[in-house]
Amino acid sequence: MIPTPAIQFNQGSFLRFLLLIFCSVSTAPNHLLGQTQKLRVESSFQPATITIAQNTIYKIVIHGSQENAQGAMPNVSGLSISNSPQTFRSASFINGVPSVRLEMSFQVRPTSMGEHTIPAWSIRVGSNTLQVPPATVNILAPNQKDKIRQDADAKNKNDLKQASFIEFKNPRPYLYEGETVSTQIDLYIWDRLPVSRIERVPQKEGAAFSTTELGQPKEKRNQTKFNKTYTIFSWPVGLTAAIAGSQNIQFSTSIRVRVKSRGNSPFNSPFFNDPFFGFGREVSITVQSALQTLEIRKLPMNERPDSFHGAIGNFTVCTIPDTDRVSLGDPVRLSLEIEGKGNFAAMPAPKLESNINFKIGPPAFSFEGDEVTKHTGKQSFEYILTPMNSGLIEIPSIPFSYFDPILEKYFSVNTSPHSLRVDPGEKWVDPTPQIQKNEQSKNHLSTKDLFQTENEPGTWINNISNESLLNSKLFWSAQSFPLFFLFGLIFYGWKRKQSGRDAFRQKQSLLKKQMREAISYKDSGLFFRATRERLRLEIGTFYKYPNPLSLSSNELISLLVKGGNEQQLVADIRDILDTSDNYEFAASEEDPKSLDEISKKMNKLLKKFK
Amino acid sequence: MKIYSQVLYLSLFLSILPFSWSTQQDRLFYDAVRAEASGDLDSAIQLYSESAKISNSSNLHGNLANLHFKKEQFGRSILHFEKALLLDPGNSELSANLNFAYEMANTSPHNDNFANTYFSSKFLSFWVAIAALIFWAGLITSAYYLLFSTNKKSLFYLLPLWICLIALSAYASKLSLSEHNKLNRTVIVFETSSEHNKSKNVPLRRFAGETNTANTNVTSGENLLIDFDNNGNPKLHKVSDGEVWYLARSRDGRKKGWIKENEFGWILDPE
Repeated sequence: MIPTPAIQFNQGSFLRFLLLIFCSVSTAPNHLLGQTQKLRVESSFQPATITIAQNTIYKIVIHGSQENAQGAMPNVSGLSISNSPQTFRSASFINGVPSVRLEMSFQVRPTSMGEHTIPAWSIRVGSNTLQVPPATVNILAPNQKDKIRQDADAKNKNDLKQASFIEFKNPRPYLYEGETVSTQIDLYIWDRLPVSRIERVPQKEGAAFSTTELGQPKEKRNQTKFNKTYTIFSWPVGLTAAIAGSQNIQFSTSIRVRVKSRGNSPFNSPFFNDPFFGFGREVSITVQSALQTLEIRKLPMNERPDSFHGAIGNFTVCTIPDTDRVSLGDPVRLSLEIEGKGNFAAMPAPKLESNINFKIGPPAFSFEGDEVTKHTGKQSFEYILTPMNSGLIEIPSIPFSYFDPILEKYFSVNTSPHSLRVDPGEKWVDPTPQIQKNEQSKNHLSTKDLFQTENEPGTWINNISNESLLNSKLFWSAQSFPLFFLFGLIFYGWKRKQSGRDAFRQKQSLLKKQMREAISYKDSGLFFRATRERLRLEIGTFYKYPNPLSLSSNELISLLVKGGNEQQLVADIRDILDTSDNYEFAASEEDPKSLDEISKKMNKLLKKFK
Repeated sequence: MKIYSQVLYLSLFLSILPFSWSTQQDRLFYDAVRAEASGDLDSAIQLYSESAKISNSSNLHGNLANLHFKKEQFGRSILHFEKALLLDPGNSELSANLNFAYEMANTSPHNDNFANTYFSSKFLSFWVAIAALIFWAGLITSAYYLLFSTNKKSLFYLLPLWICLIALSAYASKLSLSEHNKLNRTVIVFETSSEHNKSKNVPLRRFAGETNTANTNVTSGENLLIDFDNNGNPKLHKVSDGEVWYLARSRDGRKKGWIKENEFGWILDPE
């Protein structure tokens, strides 16, 4: 049977399968040596008979190949076979014939006595599938030597437990829900254990309880237990039961110890090899207390007083006012002191509400006593009472109830009422309305001040009229200024434009005259100069160029193109300009007879452009 | 010679006449101040009122308003504070007094919202001046750009802006003008002194006449607008006993009815 990934029987088989692949791949080059040798597989246990306390080796030898081996070893009940085989490859010449082989050794630990057989199974080597023959191991009962070793291991383990441990004593067999008890957590550290430090204070494991914060531990040295000498670190703690039922609680911490080396771990043999573990590295060890199960009972509902708000313990209660005589509106401090043992940390303030005689604010808290566990001491609630009425009034008593977990009963106590003489003073008024009244009175006064009679009549006016700018002649007259200014501006602009046109016409007529004279005198130079000037003047002015006479021929052409003129027109004017330029700069000769034609043509062109 | 002397005396009389009037109103004013100081408020009111018939001053109407206020005639007090403020618009003391009088009369001044405050009659001149300024500035700037500037593209941005500003300032002027015109029609309701009506409410009758039923009631100190006809004259009706009734409505137009001429006072005397 060829093993495939689909026939991976279990995780162990799969891992072994992978390991076989790995071992084979890592030695792939060697397989060539055994190509001529016949493939053969052997399997055996070495030794084949062991006691149950011993281990044996399951060995597979593949002769004739060092190639990749794949297969899935079957599981055998009663044997635990390791997943990490040791491999060994060898090559030799026997009688001149090359011989190669692959050995794979699996650690086997027996789990039950009797004869156990690994049945035949298939293994794939290269392209060949081979059958691994069955192998049998005989597991005997433990002998005397095995028993001695087991006892020694157990003793070592027990000794390790005794090296450091936590003790947590439950003060009572059961607790009530919400009850707080004072207890202690003891961390024992054997003096021969080389502890460098305690990494953290013990942590509670158990959601059904809450604890007070653990502070600095008390240290006791040379305490003997289990025939060993210990140093004990003790943390007092207040433990409050939160959830009813049978609840587990455990404390754990970690300590740091020095060990000599990896192979000399304190877990293996911390006491016999080297009691001080040398000065090697440090390791962290978790130390736990024994898991304890506590019963948490619900508080009884029967006879529960209305004034019970969760106080559990044994308390005495009294109230003390700071004075017995005040003026109306002056505050009085009333201290409610609850003393005894109980759940001070979880105790709410007894209710004392405002009434017609007193306005009462929320109390301030203070605690005196065992600050660590908050189990024993005196809790004070300080109320501020503001008397609202004068006379001899009574500070009311405060009802307080608690549950005694020892007697398992509710108790209700009432504080003594106190008489308070309140002298009639300035009546207390709510400051907010007072401010408003003050503001109102100020407004009223200021308003009175406003109504003052003037002793002088002031300026007399015959008629009260509803005058506005629209009725004002001055306003309308004033509009003439910007109007005249506008007219002036327009006139000036018009004149300026006119003067510009006149200048243009003068220049235009001058150039025309020059052109005519040039034609009559056949003066080509003068004609083309005047022609070019006229083109500049007329085109530049037409396109409102600020300084037309400075335009070059190219600029004139570009103005015409931008103006959207016909291409023929632009080409004709370009010709005239080119002719003028050529004549002037290249001394080109032009037939004087054609000057008249050029003039006429230009006159026509200048009328066409837009 | 006799004629010359008569002309001389006549001219002297004519030149002294205005001063003699001034003296008379001053005398009445000072008499009123003295009467008020002596605690004779009724005489003081009478003297101030006589003085007001001759001429007006801010202090005169302020004092008269104070006296009416002291006599808890809040409607008349409001009327005279309004008159005083028209003569002296910037007087903050008068404004405060007027507001307090409105408060005491349990009425509210008509210009207590944003629109009535900033587009009120008082702001008409301001908005007109602004409109004129924007108009001319825009016109002159446009002319300049058209005639002198080579870069006329700016006109494309300036013209719409100018038109918008003109429109806004014209609209503001129109709103103010509307309020301004309403002031000519505004009257303040007085307290009734009738034996039959001891409340501060004044009835607006369905028809002109004392015996007619009330259409609605208005409180003293409340602003009313008198209806005007197309010719710009108030709509009035003179009954047989000589009483003149005016058709009035509240500023919001919800109340309308006839009111007797002695039950209100004009802020601006009708022409």
